[in-house]
Amino acid sequence: MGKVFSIATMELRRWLRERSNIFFVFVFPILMVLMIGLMFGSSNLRIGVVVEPGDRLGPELIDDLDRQGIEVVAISSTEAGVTAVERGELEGLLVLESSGSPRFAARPDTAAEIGTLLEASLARASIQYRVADLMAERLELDSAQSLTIVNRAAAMSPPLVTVESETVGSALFGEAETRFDLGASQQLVLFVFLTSLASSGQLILSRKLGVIRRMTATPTSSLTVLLGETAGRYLIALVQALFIVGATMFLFGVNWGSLFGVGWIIALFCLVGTGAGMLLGSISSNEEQASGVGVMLALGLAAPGGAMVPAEIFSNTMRTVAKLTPHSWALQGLGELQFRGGGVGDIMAELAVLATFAVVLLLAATLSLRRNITP
Amino acid sequence: MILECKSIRKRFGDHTVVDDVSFYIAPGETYGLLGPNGAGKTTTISIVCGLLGKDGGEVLIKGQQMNTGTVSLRSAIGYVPQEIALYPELSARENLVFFGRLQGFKGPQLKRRVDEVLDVIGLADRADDLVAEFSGGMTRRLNIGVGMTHRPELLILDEPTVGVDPQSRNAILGAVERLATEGMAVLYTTHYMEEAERLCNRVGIIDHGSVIAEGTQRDLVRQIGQLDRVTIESPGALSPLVEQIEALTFVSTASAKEGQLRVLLRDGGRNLTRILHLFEDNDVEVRGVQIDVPDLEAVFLHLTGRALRD
Ligand SMILES: Nc1ncnc2c1ncn2[C@@H]1O[C@H](COP(=O)(O)OP(=O)(O)OP(=O)(O)O)[C@@H](O)[C@H]1O
Ligand SMILES: [Mg+2]
Repeated sequence: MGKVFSIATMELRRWLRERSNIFFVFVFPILMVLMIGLMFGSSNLRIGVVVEPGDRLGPELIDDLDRQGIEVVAISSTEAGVTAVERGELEGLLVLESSGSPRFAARPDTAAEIGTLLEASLARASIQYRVADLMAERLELDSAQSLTIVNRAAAMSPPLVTVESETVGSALFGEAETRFDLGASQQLVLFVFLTSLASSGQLILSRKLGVIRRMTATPTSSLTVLLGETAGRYLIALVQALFIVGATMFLFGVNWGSLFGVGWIIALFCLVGTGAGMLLGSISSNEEQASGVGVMLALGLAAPGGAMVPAEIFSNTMRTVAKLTPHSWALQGLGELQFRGGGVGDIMAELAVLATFAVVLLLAATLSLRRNITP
Repeated sequence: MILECKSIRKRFGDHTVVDDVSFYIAPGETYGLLGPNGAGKTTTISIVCGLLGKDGGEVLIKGQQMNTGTVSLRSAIGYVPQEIALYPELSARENLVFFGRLQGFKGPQLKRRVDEVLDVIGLADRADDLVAEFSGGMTRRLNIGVGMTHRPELLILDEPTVGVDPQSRNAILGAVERLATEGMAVLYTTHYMEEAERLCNRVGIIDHGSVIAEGTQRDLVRQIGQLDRVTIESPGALSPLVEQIEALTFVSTASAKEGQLRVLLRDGGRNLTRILHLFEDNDVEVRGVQIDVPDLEAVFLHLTGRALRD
């Protein structure tokens, strides 16, 4: 056991010595999270609106929100809108139905703010309608004409009332920032897998350097060497995963949800990456091939796995294909923890699938590597 | 005996690379395996270290069977591979510590051993530099150091001086000599006969997978009988001369390389003139002539008709 640990920590140390690794393992993922966060989340509030046919309030309301500098996004279905809110792509969703009162959805952290905002807008919009209706009736105007007049009055600047506000003291709780959440979990699975596959070249290099052979010339069984090399890869993946979680939490205030649940997903997903990397390393003929194929494979799996663009935009066929990648399961589990406040109990299915991936890949890699290591 | 090889045999496909090789090494003894490229030295060593399976015979380390699955006996051996086997991304010290751990050392004892080894291989002042920044000679020295961190009873060195400058080579040979006087048994392969002559108590000459002669240097030279070794230096074309010289009745063997013609012959002092006549007849210039007693190179030439290094 001590020797397994010695081999594993030595491999980690070797890995960290490489400057380009430091960049790809630590700097690049964080830059990606930052960029995606800046791209997706404008600092404006983004509100999705679903307008059902027959609703009258829609146009006035959208104008009103627009006047307040809120970005209004037309959404086709309630379901898609709710998902977008859950993932932090929208701050709120307003559903205007032809019958019944308007409904809105928002995340718990912003529900109060969005609620007040929408209520005020809805009140203003409905008052405009009442005034227009009243004018039409009393002044015998046609209702479209009167609505135009009311609208013009509402849009007149300066506004009737302006409220000056100032902030005092500091926030009692950290500001709930969510636009980095999705990017963080995507980059986590993307980079952990990428690193695991790309590092398979190191294994081939070790064989070529003769150091694996030299290890077996010491009183160290080939099984110990194999376990040590595997543990080394696993350690590299874990260090990166924990770094991404920690760094995005502290730098961008990313909300990961239950850290216990995240820990389980990371533990298993890193094992999947390790197995895939070891397998690739054992069947490749040289380190350039292994690293090249590794990068292609990692990117090729990350895209359908939903680690590059949200899986919500996929067609149904693509969603089925995505289920074949460990990425999609890891992201699904992380989403449950991040966006729906789930705990370990809610991600059992995802954990089971990841564990299966890990066992199959590690077993295949072990069989393939034993051939290489034993004399 | 620290090591006994009994009739070991190894085939690759239908090519027999090690053929019935037997030898032993007593504690504290330095044994040399001397042979040209492709003779089967590395293959033999790999089998001795349990890194390669054999097709016949047995290897005994301290009287116990050594096979590819035998793990515990390996601590008795310090293996220094022919090709450098080190982590270039790690420092000299880190390499020594890592392999020392695999030998079962830890803590202050490991640190002490590592410091000692760094001294022996003359790298104490470069201990914390990365191996990637080392010169060829320094890397070679560290390659050897890693094999002796655990003070093995048998140190196995596979051509440790290949591609090394004369100064590093001298340092390596000196270190091996020192270890041997401290009582470490050494198995040393080389195709430099000077190294075998300087270091080894006994030498086995291996060619095409077989040990064709074995003994102390004196034993081996005696096998040649009353032959003298004549070396003639010449800038001319020597190859055409070899055949004519070998046809002479008093000549055992002749070979030409690097502007030198080496001849083993009876009664060198008297018969030399006959050879020089051939140079004159063929109009080949002679720059220098030397008569010596035979050395290991001459033994190899006598036994195989070839020079050790072609
Ligand atoms: N894995 C292998 N497969 C096939 N042939 C091999 C293998 N390893 C060695 N050989 C062959 O076995 C023969 C002996 O090789 P070996 O490496 O033992 O020679 P050597 O005496 O160490 O030579 P050198 O001085 O060049 O190191 C060579 O002909 C070589 O081509
Ligand atoms: Mg060799």
